[in-house]
Amino acid sequence: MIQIHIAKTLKNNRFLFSFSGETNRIVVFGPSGSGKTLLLKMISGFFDPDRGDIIIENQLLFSKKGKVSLPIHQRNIGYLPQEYTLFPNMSVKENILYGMKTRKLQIEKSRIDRLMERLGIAAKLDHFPDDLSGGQKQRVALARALLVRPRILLLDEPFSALDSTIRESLRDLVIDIADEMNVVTLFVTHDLEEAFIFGKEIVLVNSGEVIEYGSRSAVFDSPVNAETADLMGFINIWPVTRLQNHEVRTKSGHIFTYTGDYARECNHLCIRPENIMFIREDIPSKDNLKKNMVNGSITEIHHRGKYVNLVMNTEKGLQLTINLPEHAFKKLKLTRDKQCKVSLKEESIVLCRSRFNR
Amino acid sequence: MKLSSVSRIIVVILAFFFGAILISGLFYTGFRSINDLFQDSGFLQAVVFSLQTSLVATAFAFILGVPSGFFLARNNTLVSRFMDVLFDIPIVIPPLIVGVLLVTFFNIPIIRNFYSFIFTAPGAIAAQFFIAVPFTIKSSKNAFELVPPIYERIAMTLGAKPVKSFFDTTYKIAFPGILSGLILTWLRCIGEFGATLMVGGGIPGKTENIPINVYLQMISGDHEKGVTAGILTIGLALACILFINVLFLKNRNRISHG
Repeated sequence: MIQIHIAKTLKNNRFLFSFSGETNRIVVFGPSGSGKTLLLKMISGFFDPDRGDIIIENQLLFSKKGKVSLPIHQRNIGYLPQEYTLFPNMSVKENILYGMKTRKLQIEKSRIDRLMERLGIAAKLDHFPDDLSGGQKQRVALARALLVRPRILLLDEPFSALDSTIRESLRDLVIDIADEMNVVTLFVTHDLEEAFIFGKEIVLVNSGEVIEYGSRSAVFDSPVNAETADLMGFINIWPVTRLQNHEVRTKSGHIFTYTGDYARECNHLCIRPENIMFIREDIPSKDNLKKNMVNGSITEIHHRGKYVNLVMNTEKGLQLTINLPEHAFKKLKLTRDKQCKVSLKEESIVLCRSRFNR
Repeated sequence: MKLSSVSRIIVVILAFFFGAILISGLFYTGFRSINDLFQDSGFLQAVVFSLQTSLVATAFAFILGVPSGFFLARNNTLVSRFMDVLFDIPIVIPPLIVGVLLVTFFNIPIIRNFYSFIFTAPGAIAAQFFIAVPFTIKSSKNAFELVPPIYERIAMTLGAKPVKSFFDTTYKIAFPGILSGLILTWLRCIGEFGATLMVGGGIPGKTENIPINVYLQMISGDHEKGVTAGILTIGLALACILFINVLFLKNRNRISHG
C-alpha cells in the first residue's frame, strides 16, 4: 500500500501529487511534461518535496512535518528509468550483483539463476553493457532492481525507446514478475493502451497535479472529471443541461438519454468514438440504438490502420468523432459529405463534472 | 577538388613538417651522446629534480584539480563558467609571465613570512603546478561531463552510500579521462621552463630541471648534449601520448554506450 501526499514548486511550476494505492500494479498516466518523472524522483529521494508525506508499504520515507527524509540508499527502491543505466564499467554479472553486495545480502544462486532464465539473460552474464541490445539492457536493469527485493519498483517509461514487439513482451514479463514476487510497482506511461494493460489502479496526472485516481475500471469506464475523460480517450465531450428522466440537452439543442446515475453537478456528456454507431436504413436497428439518433454529414475521414476515424457535423452544429473498424467502413461505403444517421449508445454515455467547477 | 582531398594534402604536409622537426634532432645525437649525457652529473641531477618536482606538482594537481573538474562538470552557473575561464589563463599566457606573477605573489610579505618560495624546489613545484593544473581540470571536467549523474543515483537506490556510489560509478567511468589529463599534466611539468626558471631560479644542482639544463647546455655551446636531452624528453612524451590513445580507444565505446 502506498500513500503519497506531496507538493513541490520548481521554476514557478507547482506540482501537487495526492493519491493512495492498494494493489501491486499502479499506473501513473498523463501527457508528457505533466510531472510524472518528478513524482518518481521524489519517491526515490532524488529530490525532496516542499511539503507532505510519502509512505510506502507502511514505511515513512518522507515527512516534512515529521522532519523525516530517508536517504536514497535507505529507501530500498528499485528505479528503472527510460535511459539505459547499466554501469558501463561493470559486466552484466557485476551489475546484477551490485545491489546485493552493497547491501550485504546473501547471494542465493538458485534464485539468481531462476530470475536470469526468466528474463532471458542467463547467457549474457560475462558480457559488458556495450555488447547488449536495448531490450537486453533493460532486462538486466530490471534483474538488478528486483534482486534486492525492493519495497517498491518504480518504472519510468523504461521500454519506450524499444520497438513495439519487444516493448509488449517486456511489459507482459514485468506484469508476471510483479504478480509473482508481489512487489508494488509504479509504472509511468503516457500510452493509454499500456496504462490499461498494466494497471490495476490508475493515477491520472495532468499539468503537475493528480486529477483522479482509482481502479482501472473506475477511471477508464466512469471518469468523474471531464478532463479525465479527455485523457481516457472519450474525445466527444460536450457541456449539457440536465433535464428530467435521464435526459440531457446539448448547447446545440440535441437531447440524449443515458442510463447511469450521476450527481447533480455532472454537466458534461462524454462518449467514446467507438460507442457511436452508424444506423443502416436497409436493416432494422437494435433497440438500444433507436434512441439518441442524430443526422449529419461526414466532414473528415482519417485511416488509422485497424480503424477509421471520422468527423461528422450534425445539422444543429454538433461535431462528433467516430471510430469505426476498417471492414465496417468499407461495408457502409462512407465518403466525405455523405449524409448519415448515427446513434449514441445510451449505456455508453458518461456524465462528468467539469473539474474546475467542483 | 573535394574538401576531403584538400584536407588530406594539408594533413600530409603538416605531418611532414612535424616529422622533419622531430627527426632533425637525431642527426646530432647517437648512442654515444646518450651515454655521455648519462655520465653528466649535472644532467642526472636535473633529471632527478624534474622527476621529483613534476611528480609532486602532478600529485597536487590530482588532489585539487580533479575535484575542481568535477565541480565544473556538475555546475553550470555564472560563477562556475567564470572559474572555468580563470583556470584557462595559465594555458593562454606565456609561462614566463606566470612566473613573473608568481614571483610577485610570493613576495607579498604575508606569503614571504610564511615560506620563502623564491629559488627553492617548492617554488619550482608551485610554478609547475599553476602552469599544468589546467590540463587536469579540463580533462577531468570533460571526463565527468560524459558520465550522467543517474549512475550514481541508481547505485544509491541499490544501497550504496553517496561516496561509494561516486567512486563505484562516476569516478571509475571517468578515470581514463582523468588519467590522461594527469599524464598530460605531468608531461607539461616535465617540460616546464619559463615559470620554473623565474620562480626556481634554475640554480644548477638545486633548482635546475631538464629544460633548463638543455637551455644551459645550448647557450654554453654544447649543442649535441642539448639535442640529446631534448630527444629523450620527446621520446618520453611520445610514449605517454601513445599510452593515452590506447587507453582512450579501449574505453571510448564502453563509456558512451553504457
